[in-house]
Amino acid sequence: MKKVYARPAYCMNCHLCEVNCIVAHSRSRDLFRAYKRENLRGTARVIVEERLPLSVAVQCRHCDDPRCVAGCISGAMVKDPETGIVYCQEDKCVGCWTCVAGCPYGAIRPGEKNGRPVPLKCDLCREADEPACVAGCPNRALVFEERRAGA
Amino acid sequence: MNYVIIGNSVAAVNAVAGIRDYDREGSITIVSAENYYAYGRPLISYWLEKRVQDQDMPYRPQEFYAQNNVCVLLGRRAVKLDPEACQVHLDNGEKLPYDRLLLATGGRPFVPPIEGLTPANYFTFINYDDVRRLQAAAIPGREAVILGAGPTGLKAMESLVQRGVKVTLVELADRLWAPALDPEAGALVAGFLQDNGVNLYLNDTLTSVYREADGRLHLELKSGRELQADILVMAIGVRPNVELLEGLPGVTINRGVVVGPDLGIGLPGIYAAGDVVAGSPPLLPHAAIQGKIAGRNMAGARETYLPLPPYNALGFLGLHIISIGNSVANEGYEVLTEVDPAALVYRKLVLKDNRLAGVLLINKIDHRAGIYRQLLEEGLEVAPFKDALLRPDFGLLSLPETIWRQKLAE
Repeated sequence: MKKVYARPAYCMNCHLCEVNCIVAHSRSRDLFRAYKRENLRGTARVIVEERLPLSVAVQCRHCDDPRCVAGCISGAMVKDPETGIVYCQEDKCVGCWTCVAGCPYGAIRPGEKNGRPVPLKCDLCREADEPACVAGCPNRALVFEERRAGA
Repeated sequence: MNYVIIGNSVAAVNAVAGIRDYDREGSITIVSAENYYAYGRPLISYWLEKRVQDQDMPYRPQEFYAQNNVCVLLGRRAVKLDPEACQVHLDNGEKLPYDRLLLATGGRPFVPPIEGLTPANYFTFINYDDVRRLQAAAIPGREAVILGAGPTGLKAMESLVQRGVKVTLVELADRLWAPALDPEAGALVAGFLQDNGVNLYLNDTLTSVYREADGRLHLELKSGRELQADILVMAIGVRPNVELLEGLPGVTINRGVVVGPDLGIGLPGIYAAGDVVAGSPPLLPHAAIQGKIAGRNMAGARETYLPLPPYNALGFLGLHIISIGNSVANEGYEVLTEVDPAALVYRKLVLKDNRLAGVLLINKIDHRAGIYRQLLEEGLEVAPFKDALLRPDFGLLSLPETIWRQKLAE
């Protein structure tokens, strides 16, 4: 399946992937409204880790046998059998955070939206052609592509 | 191929998915003692406090069974297993032939003999019917005593408190959730519960119960303490449902059924997964993973289940706890901690030979929990980055470069 791959050598630590992720997962799809009206600051599903001068964006690897899906007590977290995308049906989530303890990459964070729990994890912007983090990366430090296993 | 699965919870549903990874054609029959399609068992406490409604209980959408061509026999019990004839006998006299059989029968609450205790004067807290019964009794202002302060007792406590019931927890050990919380963490959580109006009696247990003339329960504890209550919940543990296997040559029962690395139980074509398995922590992720692997192996794969350390995420009344591996250990281990009692924060990493052996995170849980669990399961040596482990910026990049590069390429 196509996944987002980070290319650390090209990352300049601008955090635009986080900003674009937040906007893509907002109701308004508008940067100003997402931050100032919907209060979505800090809810990115991709996180730039820093060990300056090194920086790299970390996000869900959409595992073949996802621990987050195995551990989900409500059945909210699923892996789409067609696309391979691992995502949360957020209205079913009860916020137990077993998924957080399960993710081998630390790519799920406990979050909240309108008083409801939301596991903050990448869903590859599953209704778009290309994830917002990739589309907005100014230096192609994130690429969306198919790679063979082990490649 | 003819597959029969006894049980219809998390292990069973994941076994269906596992079978269908390899076999789209074979017929699958699920024997479900409960009258419900699979639901997440841990959701019952959320249902009781009305955070989850009936329509959100199903673990998989209704179409799941049809899409996977599964026949579900609801409200049917398997009463006998005949491995010679490869048949399962049902409670209506029917005999189900199988080529591959999965025992995903789970466990049931352990209720010790206690003077005066009858099914009419206590509740258990493990399935949908339990909370449906409890719902009628859990009226604001009533008083409940819960025997057992492990995860089940604590979730029962939460949902009853949220319904306005006054709760007393009685625990035989010297602290709450003793297999996961060390004494310091136990004291921290006990303080939190008491601040939320929950009574807690440790080092104590129920010795007798009777119903008084006014219909209330009169409880006597080992300490001599006497309590009055409207509701008694027994939450001291579960026992694997192994009755179908008892006395069968070739099968080893050690509380649960002993399985090989392929999750086979030693009889041709028969596998087990979930809480019925001996030595497996009765936890949902473990049941799901075992179910998937057992299902695949039933359909011809050769996968191995490597026993996983326990890991559990438990939240109640807004306090969230993640426990991984041996989170209780102190003596003989290297222990790193970050403690802020005022904020109810307790973060503890247990190390043995520079490898993570246990993790306990209270009231400050984040994505690092998953990395800790992975490090613990992989047995990766943490010496090169030990100082970074509890730092707020600990992450994948804290690991050796070859490792994080490999992980990000997955």
